[in-house]
Amino acid sequence: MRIATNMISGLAINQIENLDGNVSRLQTEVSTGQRVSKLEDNPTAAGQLVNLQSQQQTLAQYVKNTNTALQISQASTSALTNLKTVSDRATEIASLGSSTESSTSATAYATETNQLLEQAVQSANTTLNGSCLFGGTATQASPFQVTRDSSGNITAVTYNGSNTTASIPVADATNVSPYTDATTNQGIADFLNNLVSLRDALNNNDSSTVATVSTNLQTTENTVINSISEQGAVQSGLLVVQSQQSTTATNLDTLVSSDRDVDMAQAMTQLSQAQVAYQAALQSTATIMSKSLISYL
Amino acid sequence: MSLFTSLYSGTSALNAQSYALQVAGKNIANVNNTNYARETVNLGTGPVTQTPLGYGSSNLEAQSVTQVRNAFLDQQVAQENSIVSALTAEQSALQQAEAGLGETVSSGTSATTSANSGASLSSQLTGLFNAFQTLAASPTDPGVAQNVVASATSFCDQMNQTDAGLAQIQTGLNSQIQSTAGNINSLLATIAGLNTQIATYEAGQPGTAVDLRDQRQTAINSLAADMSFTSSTDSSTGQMQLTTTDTNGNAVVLVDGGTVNNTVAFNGSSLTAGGATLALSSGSVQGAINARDGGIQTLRNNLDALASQVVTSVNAAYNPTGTTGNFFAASGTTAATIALDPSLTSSNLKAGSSANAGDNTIALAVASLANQTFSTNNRDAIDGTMTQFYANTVTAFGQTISDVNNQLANQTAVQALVTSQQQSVSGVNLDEETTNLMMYQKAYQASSHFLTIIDGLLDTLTQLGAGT
Repeated sequence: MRIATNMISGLAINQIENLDGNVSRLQTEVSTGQRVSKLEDNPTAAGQLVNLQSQQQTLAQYVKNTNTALQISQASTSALTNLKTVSDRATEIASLGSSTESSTSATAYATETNQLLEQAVQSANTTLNGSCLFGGTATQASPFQVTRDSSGNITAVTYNGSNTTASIPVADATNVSPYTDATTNQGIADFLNNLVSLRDALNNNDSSTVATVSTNLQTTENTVINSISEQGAVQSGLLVVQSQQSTTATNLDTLVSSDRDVDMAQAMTQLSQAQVAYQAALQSTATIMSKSLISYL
Repeated sequence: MSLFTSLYSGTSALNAQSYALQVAGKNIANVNNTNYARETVNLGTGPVTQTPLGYGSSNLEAQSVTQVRNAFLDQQVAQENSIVSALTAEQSALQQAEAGLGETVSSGTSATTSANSGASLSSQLTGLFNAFQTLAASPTDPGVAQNVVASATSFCDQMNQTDAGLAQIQTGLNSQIQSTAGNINSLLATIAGLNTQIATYEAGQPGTAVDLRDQRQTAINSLAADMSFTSSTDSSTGQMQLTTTDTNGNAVVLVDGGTVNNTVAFNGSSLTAGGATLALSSGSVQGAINARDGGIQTLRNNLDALASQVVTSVNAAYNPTGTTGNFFAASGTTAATIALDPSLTSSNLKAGSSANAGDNTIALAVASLANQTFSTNNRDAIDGTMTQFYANTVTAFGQTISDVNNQLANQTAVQALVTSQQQSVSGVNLDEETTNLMMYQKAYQASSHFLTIIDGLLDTLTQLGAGT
């Protein structure tokens, strides 16, 4: 084949550009640690990454939601535990009060019961970040409304909350409700009203009513205990969800990495190969292009 | 033959050799001119006269200069350049659109970082539904409500901006085609002018207007970079005819000899000539049209479908009865027009359908749309989940660019091959020309020496007379 002089330089430029392109691509891969940085590099992997990164983003949201649900459940448990402590002491007072003869000691028990009642109402109206925990979806107004007499004593408690409860998404198609249900909330209202009855019976030194209230207190305490164990179940469920989330996060990271990240050993080897080729092309071009017949005349 | 005849013979040889030297010098000067075809001098004997020894000629003449061209290879080079030019134009437009889409792969996003980080459309889309999830978890938190409105606003903004960016690229391509059309018309005029000159100079001696032919070939190559056409040369006049085809398959003559039969024009969508829309197969105009109506338009259509689905689905979940106010403005169902309902604010954002502040049913319903699978068979605007649809859109667009990249790489290799074949025929080789230089130099020296000898002989003759 006849070789025109500018073919030599043209071919050399093509070769050097190709090799330069290779070196530059490998250099980018090594320096970023990614084999895909633009859509055109690997469209399938790029599309897959859009899916995976969206899943990662959603998972991050589920992690936040799970933490919120856990907080609500833990705050509810803590308030319910307070109620149980109050209930325990009230039951104790009821059994002491039903057997007492002296009206003075009965009045002293009544005063303590009144304090317990105030404490219990406060616990029942507990809020977390401004939202009431035991009001179902009616989270803004205190769910347990009290009626007081002229001397400021509570005479009745009514439940004004909602009968529906909200649930929070913690995984695809999995919603968890960390709130207590309507039966529990109604049970808490009953418990508070039992305390009102107990206090009044003690004030009146009416031992038979005290005995009846004592039985009723047992029933309402069972509701509170059941609710505490339900919250325990919700929390352990959420902990399982959290551990699944962390496994999923690791899996997603692995998948993203396999689609996106470069095999460093391979890339480094290819880079040094490409550099050798590039250097050889430069050197041979410099050698060939400096020579022509004119040099020897 | 007299000594004076020998003197003439020597002189004509000197002329012929110096002309050959001049052509070798011209070849050397054009060593790097890719549009130049090397020239050779055809030496031959001069007019034959009757001598005592018979009919013969003692003169050497440079009879003609031939250009070493292979018309077939020239045409192939132009064609391959035309295809490369189309692909380069398409690649460049698509890469602009790729940058405009802003969907790059980075190592920033991870499950441990923010749930609505990143500025790409996909992360904005996921961020929108994540904001509704946060609202479901904390329906009474005013900060969360603000975040929902902010996420939705930035999703709409991103959609609007992306679409506007893509539309701008399309407009840019149109004005590029417009200015190319002007360039094409001036090239057509140049070629017609050169055709006229070539016919005039070559009258009776085809192929001799070498420099004009070089100029015409340069113009042909430039024209091929802009549009596709076929050329044929009339061997008697040396004039070229350029034709292309319209969308009905009819031939449209652009240039015939010295006349520009039809100029081209851009009608806003395609190139036309003589009122007919041209069916181009290559050239930068076609590359720009391919990118504009292909990859970029498909991308815009898909973004419109996504916007339409987001607006319809979110509004249906947010406003199930159709009476409580929409989330997105119902009129904006394209990527360019998607916007929040003008009456929506973070304070009147609804998390639930009842009056209870802790009701999160609406927030849950909207958040669950992220996992809903749609199907165009059910009259939805998209197939798959929203994220899947977007991922598929991104994949398809990336595939379009990747295909063009591969085609361009292959085509560039073909172009290099054809160009080197053409250069192998027409290109200048310095060593060859240096050898020619030496050859003509030696011949010139020899002819000069011959003249010196004849001069000496004439001297001797004149002294013969002086001695008597």
